[in-house]
Amino acid sequence: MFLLRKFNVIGLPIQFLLTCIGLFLFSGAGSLLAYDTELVIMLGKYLQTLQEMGREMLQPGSIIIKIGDPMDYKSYPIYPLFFQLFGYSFSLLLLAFFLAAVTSSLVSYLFMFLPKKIYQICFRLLDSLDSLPDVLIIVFIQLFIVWFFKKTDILLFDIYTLGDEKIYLLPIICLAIMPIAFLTKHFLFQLREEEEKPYVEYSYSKGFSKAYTVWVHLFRNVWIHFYYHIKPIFLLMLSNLLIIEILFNINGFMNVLLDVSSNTPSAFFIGMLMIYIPFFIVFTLGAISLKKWLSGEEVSS
Amino acid sequence: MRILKSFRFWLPVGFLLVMLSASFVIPAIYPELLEPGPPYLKDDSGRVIADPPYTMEEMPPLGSDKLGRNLFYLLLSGAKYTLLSAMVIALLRMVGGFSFGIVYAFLPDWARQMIKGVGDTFNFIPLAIIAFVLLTPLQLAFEAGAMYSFRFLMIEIVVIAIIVIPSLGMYIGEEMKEYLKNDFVTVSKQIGASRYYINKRHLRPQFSRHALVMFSEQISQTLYLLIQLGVLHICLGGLKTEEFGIMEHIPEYFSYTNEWAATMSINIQMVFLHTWLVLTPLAFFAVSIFCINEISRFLKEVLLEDTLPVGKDETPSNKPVPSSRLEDPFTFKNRSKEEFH
Repeated sequence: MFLLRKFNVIGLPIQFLLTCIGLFLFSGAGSLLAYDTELVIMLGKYLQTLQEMGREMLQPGSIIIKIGDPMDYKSYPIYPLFFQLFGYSFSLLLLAFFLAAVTSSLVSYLFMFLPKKIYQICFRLLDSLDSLPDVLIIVFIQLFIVWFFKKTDILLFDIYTLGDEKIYLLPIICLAIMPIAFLTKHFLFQLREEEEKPYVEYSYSKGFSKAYTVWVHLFRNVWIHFYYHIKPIFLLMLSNLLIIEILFNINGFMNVLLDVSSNTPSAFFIGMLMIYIPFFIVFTLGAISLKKWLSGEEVSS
Repeated sequence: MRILKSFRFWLPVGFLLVMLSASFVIPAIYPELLEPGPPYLKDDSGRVIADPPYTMEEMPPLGSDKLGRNLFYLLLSGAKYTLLSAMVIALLRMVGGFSFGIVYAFLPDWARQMIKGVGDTFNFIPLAIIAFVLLTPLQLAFEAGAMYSFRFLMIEIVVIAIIVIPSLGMYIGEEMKEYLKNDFVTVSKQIGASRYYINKRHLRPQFSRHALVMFSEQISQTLYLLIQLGVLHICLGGLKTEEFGIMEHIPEYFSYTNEWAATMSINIQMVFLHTWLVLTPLAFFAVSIFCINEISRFLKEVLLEDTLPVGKDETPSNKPVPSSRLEDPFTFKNRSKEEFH
């Protein structure tokens, strides 16, 4: 047991390094496949790209990124631009994440008071929401706003960015919709299971109301499970962020990452690290603190 | 066998099968339905009232695309490319994932840690970007006319399948490793069962049921991915640009296969002008994904939870996932479909 724990302590930095190496190896992958008359795997060119990347990484400040049409692109130095975009895109991501967390817990809380029949129907609807592709949902929202604008002359939100302005509200809502459905479903699963435990009965028999019991007692136990879904949700949101930035014409981080992925592998690598490292820190800290907390609870109880 | 008798299984499967067979039969029997329609429509007094793309009233049932081709038949004939490719991709993923998983489950711990480290890479890059990076050079070659559409389609299928195999294989391998910790496996190892025997006797019966469910989940995930790739203009069978402007430079994308994602992708710039051209293919996607999700849900109930929802007031799918895995919430164990996006 002790050995295992020790291994984990050493294993973590190694795992981190390995993932960074993996990201490095992947960044050059654009030059791996090529086609002239047959599909060829260009190992030589790939290695050359990696070598070039390694050289460029020694002076990361001098990397120039090209944005826009391959025919008429604009060049920017990597340093201020990448970080500005990163701040914008990830504030969208974080805000959407918090919105999703709050909304889904409220919705699942309200769900618990529905009569059984209606609950079933609502749950089924929620489940079917999964079948709607995210692109369809986004397009629907955009169209709804245009339709609403035409009918009433009120522009609810800006649906498109022009030039340098930034829009927040609508992308955040679009980004939050899928996680809300996902989280609500899982919260309800967990609440259902929790509801059958004896302490709930005890709380009712002591005369506490359902609202109080669900909110205070059930939710406290369900929130732990929230942590289990953080990683999948962030990854889901990351890929949705890309789609949203494209559909809303936002010059965001993911959009630039996509541009850069095919022409400047070293910038792509830096971009990937900028995503990976914060995630790694958050997930690792989360795992450690949760483990401590849970094991501490076991000892005390 | 219970599966084959159930109405809930045959309804979505039947729907998809009808769509698929129609996709083969209709273009074969009525090739003229896919021809461009009239270049403009006139009313009774001879005035020109419409030009392509036609609306739904002008060309039933779903209007037409920019060339005046009937959108409904177009999408129907594209169904075979989208649906069959998704199935082939899912199949390749399952084969690759399970081979990877079996190797992974029997590896020593340090090797597993190594693979986990490198494999985690693929969890932090959205799949659409991975596919985009690998396929863009080929897409450029295709546009330049270096290969046939069908060959490009084949390459795309293989690439889209391969990029998921590491994470899928790791997931399957972890599950297998957990399963191998069961007492009866340990005992059987102690009395001298070979790896081959354990595979045959313990893993296969358990995981063949899982495989069916996963296969159908993979199909719907592939469809999601195809839509996302469509937004990035990477489509099955490739897109070509054609000059539409007469005096000025107006390049327009068009697709050889009329595949759904491609049809959506070539019209996405005009979502506010010709909404229908974007929404219809997406709706086709949504309906197919819904059917496939229904199938997976049903298979899961029958094969994994082993209860048919007969006369029960709570459907088994409402049962929560077991919460026995409290050790480390940040490694992938309870994988759900969202994680493969």
